[in-house]
Amino acid sequence: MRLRLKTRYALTLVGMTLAVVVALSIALFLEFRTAADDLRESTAESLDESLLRQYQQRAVGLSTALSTSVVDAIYRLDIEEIQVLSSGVSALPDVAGVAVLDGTGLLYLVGNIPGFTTDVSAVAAWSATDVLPESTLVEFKENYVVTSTPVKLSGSTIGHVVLSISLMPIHEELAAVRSDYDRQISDAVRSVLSTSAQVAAAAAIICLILAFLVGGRLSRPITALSELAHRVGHGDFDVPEVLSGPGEVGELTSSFVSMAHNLRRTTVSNAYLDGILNSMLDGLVVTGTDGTIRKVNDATCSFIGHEESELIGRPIKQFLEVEHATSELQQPREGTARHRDGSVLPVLVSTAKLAASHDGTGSSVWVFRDITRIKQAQDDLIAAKQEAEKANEAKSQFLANMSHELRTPLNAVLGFTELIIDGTYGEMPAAIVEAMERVERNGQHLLGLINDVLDLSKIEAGRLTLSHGRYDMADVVRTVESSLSPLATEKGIDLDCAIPEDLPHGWGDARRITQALMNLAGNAVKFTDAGSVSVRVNADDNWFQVSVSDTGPGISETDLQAIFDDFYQVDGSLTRQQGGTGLGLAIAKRMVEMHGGRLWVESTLGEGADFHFTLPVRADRRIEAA
Amino acid sequence: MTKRILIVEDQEDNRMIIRDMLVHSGFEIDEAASGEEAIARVNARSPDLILMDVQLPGLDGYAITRQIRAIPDLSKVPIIAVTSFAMSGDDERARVAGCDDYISKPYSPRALLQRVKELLG
Repeated sequence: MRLRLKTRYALTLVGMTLAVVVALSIALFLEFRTAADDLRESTAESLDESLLRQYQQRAVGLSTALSTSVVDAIYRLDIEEIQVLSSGVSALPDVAGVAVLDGTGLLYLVGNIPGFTTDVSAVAAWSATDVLPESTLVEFKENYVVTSTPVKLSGSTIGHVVLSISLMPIHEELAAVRSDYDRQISDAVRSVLSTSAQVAAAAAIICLILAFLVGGRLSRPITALSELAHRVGHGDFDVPEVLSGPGEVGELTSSFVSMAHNLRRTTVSNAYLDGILNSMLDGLVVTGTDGTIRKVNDATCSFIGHEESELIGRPIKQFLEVEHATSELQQPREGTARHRDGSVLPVLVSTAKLAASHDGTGSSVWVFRDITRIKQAQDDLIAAKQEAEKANEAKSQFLANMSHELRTPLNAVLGFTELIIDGTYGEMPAAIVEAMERVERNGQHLLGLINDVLDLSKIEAGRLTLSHGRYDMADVVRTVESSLSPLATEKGIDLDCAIPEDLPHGWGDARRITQALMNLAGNAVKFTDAGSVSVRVNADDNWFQVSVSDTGPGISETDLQAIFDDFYQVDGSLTRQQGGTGLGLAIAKRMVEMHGGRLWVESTLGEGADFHFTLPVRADRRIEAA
Repeated sequence: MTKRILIVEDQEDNRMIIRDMLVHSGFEIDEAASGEEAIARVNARSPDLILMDVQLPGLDGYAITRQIRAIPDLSKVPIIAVTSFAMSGDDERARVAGCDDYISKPYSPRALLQRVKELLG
């Protein structure tokens, strides 16, 4: 039976009080009993002594009186008078017996003298021999006092009076006194006991009342705390703040309230959790250690077309397949989810092990995302990329083939043209020579175009490889100068190439470096109609600094931005007018950069242009087109 | 004495240009369209100079050059390698193969003639 806390308080208090009262009562009672017994015994004793003394005195008195009165009779041996005198004494109620003796023996005996009648001769004997000056208590037995008093005449003893008094009245009186005492004591004991019982009852009632009053006060905070704990235990963390008071219980309560509030902050309800899980776009499945489904969210159901109730308890493997699936994937992995209708959809799966749950099993959480569209896009991209790569490959191959195919006949055209001009086949009329010279010029231009296009397509395809070797920068400049001086001379402009004497030998692709400088200087000569083009080279230990300056038309700010970008942005009309490909600058910049150098231009429209590039004296052997 | 030049070139047009130019300049010409043919020609008659196209069907020009150099009488005959497209390092490869000089396509017939004349001194 469960008793309320308050009741238990009360019962404990009452029990303790009763125990104290009863113990006190018992102690008091025992003490009282002992005291009463002692008193009774001492009273009886003192009474006994005083009575005995009284009886002894009476016995001596009576005996002495008789001895005085019988002197004469003994002297005269008047037995009759002795008998009268003795009978008068023995007739007294308390006298048990009287004997009168003379020097020769017993003269008279009356009454019952215990131990005397039988031994009267012995008494007579010691009475005769022992001279007793006074009346003497000669014998005291339990129930009798016996005295012997000498009978004296003129100073000599002529006989004895022996007198016996019964002590029975004393005993009776004492017994009466004792029983009276006993009665009084037991009355007192009864009274004490009843008083004790009343006191105990009163104490119990007072305790009970006190216990209920105090117990209520004591147990109320605990009862409140118990209710609080009950609420928190059932997940209601929203407990009021005010339920605390002083003392340990108060502290406990306020600690408990703040614990509940902390729990409210850190604990989420199932509904809250479900709300979150069901708002997810990704599917989420929780499995137990055995791989069966414990929980799913809405997205999972819609992905695989099953109701939640159809999924719970079934192995996740029936719905979700991941290669090398473990309970904890380091990286999200691709897999497939099986729809109710038999279709499969590609998913990205990640898993994590949940901390050991309350039922002691290690659960796993699986999150998967429908990647059908991503997958499709990826496939499309891969296909497109492969297509593009194939197309690019085809383009590069085409360009390589075409340039070779174009160059071979062009070489023949240029070769035969030169032979005709040179008169290999006989002297030609001037008109034919001039026409042939135009054929040659256009053929050379066409060859240049083909080479530039090939170079650029190689650069774009990342296929242009530098062939490094030792070279002389002075040779590079001289090659360019000798190539361009006929045109410069023809245009009437000054081509000024200054080559310092102590230029270091370079390491790089001489043909490409020559090509870069040729493109810059060639452009300068082509676009400059009057004035000069000057090529300057300087070097320190690590770098060549090369500049090409002209007095040409200059470059507009807009064109400066686009000039190196690629050949599509170059002003087509100007390019055609000047007979260039428009690829020269782009190629030159790439060539320089592939060597690890830098190429830039400074120009103002109408004030000529300065092209600069730097080039490492020793270019890395392995730098290739990006 | 007229100098004899062997032209090893698989393309007929190019062969013709070189031949016409050199004949016009007073040289005697022998022609081969392949490496095998070239070996046969030099064995039949030693040339004073060989113009060796590097890109040939079958054995390439460098391989032919090495074979020719192995022939005792021809260890010193000047050979000019004609490469199809100039690359840095072509000169090195040509020299390693045993060529005396190289010229890369596209070349000007005039420039080629000048090299030939220089080598034949």
